[in-house]
Amino acid sequence: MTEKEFRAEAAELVEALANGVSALDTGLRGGRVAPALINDVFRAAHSLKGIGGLIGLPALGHLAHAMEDALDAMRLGKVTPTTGVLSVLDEAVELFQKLVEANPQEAARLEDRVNEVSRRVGAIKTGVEPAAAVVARTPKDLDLAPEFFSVLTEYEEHRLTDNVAQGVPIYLVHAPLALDAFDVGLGKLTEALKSRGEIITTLPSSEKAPGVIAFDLLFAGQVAVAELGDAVRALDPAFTASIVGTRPRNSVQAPEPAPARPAAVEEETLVPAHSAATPRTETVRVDIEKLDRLMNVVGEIALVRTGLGRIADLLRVDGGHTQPVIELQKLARSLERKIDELQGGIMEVRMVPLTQTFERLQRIVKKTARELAKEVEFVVHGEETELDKLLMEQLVDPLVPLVRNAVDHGVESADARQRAGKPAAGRVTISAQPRGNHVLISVEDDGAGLDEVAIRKAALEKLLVTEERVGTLTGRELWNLIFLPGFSTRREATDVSGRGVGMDVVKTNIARLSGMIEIDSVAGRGTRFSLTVPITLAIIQSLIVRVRGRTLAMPLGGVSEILAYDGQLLRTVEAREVFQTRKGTVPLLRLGDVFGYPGTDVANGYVILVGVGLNRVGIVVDELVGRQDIVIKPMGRLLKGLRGIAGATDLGERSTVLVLDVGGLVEEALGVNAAA
Amino acid sequence: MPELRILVVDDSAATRQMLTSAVEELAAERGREARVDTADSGLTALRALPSGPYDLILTDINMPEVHGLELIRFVRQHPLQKDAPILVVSTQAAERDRQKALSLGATGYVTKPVTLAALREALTPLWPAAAPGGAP
Repeated sequence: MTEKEFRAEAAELVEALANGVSALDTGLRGGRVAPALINDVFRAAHSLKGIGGLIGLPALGHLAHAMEDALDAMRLGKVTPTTGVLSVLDEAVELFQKLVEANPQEAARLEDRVNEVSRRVGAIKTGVEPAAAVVARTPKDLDLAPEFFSVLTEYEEHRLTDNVAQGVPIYLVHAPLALDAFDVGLGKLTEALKSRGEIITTLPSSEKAPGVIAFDLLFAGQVAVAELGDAVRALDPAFTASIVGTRPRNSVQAPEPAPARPAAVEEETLVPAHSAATPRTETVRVDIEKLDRLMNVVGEIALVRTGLGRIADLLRVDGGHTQPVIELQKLARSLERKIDELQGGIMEVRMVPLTQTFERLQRIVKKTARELAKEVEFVVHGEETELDKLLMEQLVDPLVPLVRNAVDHGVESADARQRAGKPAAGRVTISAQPRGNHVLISVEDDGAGLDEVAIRKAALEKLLVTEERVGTLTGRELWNLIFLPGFSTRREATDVSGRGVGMDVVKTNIARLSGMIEIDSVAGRGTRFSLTVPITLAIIQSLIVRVRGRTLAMPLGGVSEILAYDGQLLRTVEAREVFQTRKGTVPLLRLGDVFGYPGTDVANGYVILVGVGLNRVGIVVDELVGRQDIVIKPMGRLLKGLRGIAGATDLGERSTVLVLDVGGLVEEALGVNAAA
Repeated sequence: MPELRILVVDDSAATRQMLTSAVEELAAERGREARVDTADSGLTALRALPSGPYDLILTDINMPEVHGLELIRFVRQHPLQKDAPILVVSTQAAERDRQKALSLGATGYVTKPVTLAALREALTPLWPAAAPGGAP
């Protein structure tokens, strides 16, 4: 493995560790910490310890070592997990997250902190608190196929629970037998097993081979896997015995029945639960850069295809329907279908569910709530929604401050909530919904709503609006002020939200993803931030338009409707042009004017409606050239900050055109950022 | 008219006896002959299955070694038997196991101690009186 792959693995282990600690916290609140869970976290720490040195981060190894010791003590019941212990572990997890992304210089700067936290984590194992009553590991933790549980009688379930709770290893013995004489073979096996422990159940199943019946015996016994294996093989070489490990736990809300897993794994390949097991996997880790490169190549092939299609069209116009021309057109069409498939395939590989991101947010909510001593319930909907992996990573940045704010500024103190007749525990809901090529993600709290008085006051103090203007702002116009750079309603930034990440940064980050953010707030009821982001950044369907002789690409994602331009429907309101549509008037934006192109717009052009809800704008163009899939290339450093431009793209005829940033243009037209 | 093939599985000889005569009588009510095989455990039942297909399987749940739930699962996987109606005969106390039996594919259940009337009622949907021998 390369260092990069080790690093990726370390990042995964840190993630597992973080989820584990978060699950321990949930368990602790529920008054029940499953020993298996502690064991899982212990294993993650153990594996991480080994990796630290390999990626040139010995500090990570040291911290993991301390963590491993602490968890070992907990696992063996010498130390009880308490909120105090967990908050130390939380600190360590946070440090791991920083370390795993750090380069050697950054890691060196973190050294003091690592030593300090390592010392505190190390102190956990010397904890003198007596161990809590042993909490039963449940059979649900066993890595058994769900159908196994479906055939256990109540009594058998009880026996299994009892054995598991006492730490007796559970084995699965597989015995294929000839149908005509199976009772003899089974009788011998039963006898052999009973002398070594307890048979919990005997499950017959049809083998694929005819004339053969197989039995899967669930057996509990204090024997070594090798000894048991030898004993059963002595009866019949076809018999196998394997230990039933514990299910790896990755998610906080461990789902009850695990996805179908093989009931038994080959004996020799299975490692008992208490060693650092490497889960068998059928997936390949792929560097996202490699996928990007593939995607780019596919994008370029698509351009070649477009070229071929155009040549075919030209030939047809010039030479008529000759056989070769028809063939060429057919081939170009079939190439297009295949490219579509290829694109879809690569896109799918890049798609990952939001689960991990939401888990991360959950940890942040918990941590923030703990720091602020608030009771907050975190509700998640639609975590199965899929997004481009790269986009997902960039989405975390804006989402983190949003959930922090929801806990810090959104949810009121328990006292205030009770006075308002609300339950003491606040609620933060995050939900995702697929919307075609976009995903709608909302972060909602049930707090007091945005404080309009405070917003007005702060905006005035910071000279972000004029006194005259601030009085006329209402609702969303007013709320949108919080997106202005330098805005913060708190006099002193709290330790929690005020880490310099203001809402302006959140907004910029979302705009960078070609996304939009909207606020809804009801006094006394709560605040909701709704983000609309595309599901992928890689390939964007776009509309190619011409404006005053220039060609531009406009991502189709933001386009809701295209209307014929009609001078009759034009009005002027407060010195601004608006256009009459069936759903009311929209402000008009003339691209030619925005970018300072000389000339005037033609009279028989089009109005492209973009944006959603109240944020709709009509963009005037002269000509619609067509629709095309484009790969956006960033603009170089010099042109980076250009307003209204998202990047550039190659259209294939050796022509490079600019790609419009629809979100930015909408803002420009609505004057969101020009409130002053 | 072909005889109805029935398998009765129970580890109590008395229950097997009772169930056998009950199903014979209920078959007779429909003008059919019944040929009843009995098995004293799930394991013995596994041996009997290949001689099916059975038009009805009556089984207890609590039996040594292979028990009723395991038998039901096995029958439902068995190419020859997977559609055979299965009636679970169990005590009132085994409510949870009975629910499991139904979710594993049992057709219905009769509570022990079994009465002729209860068995008749349970069999009515399986063996419609109007069209005797609903099963092939």
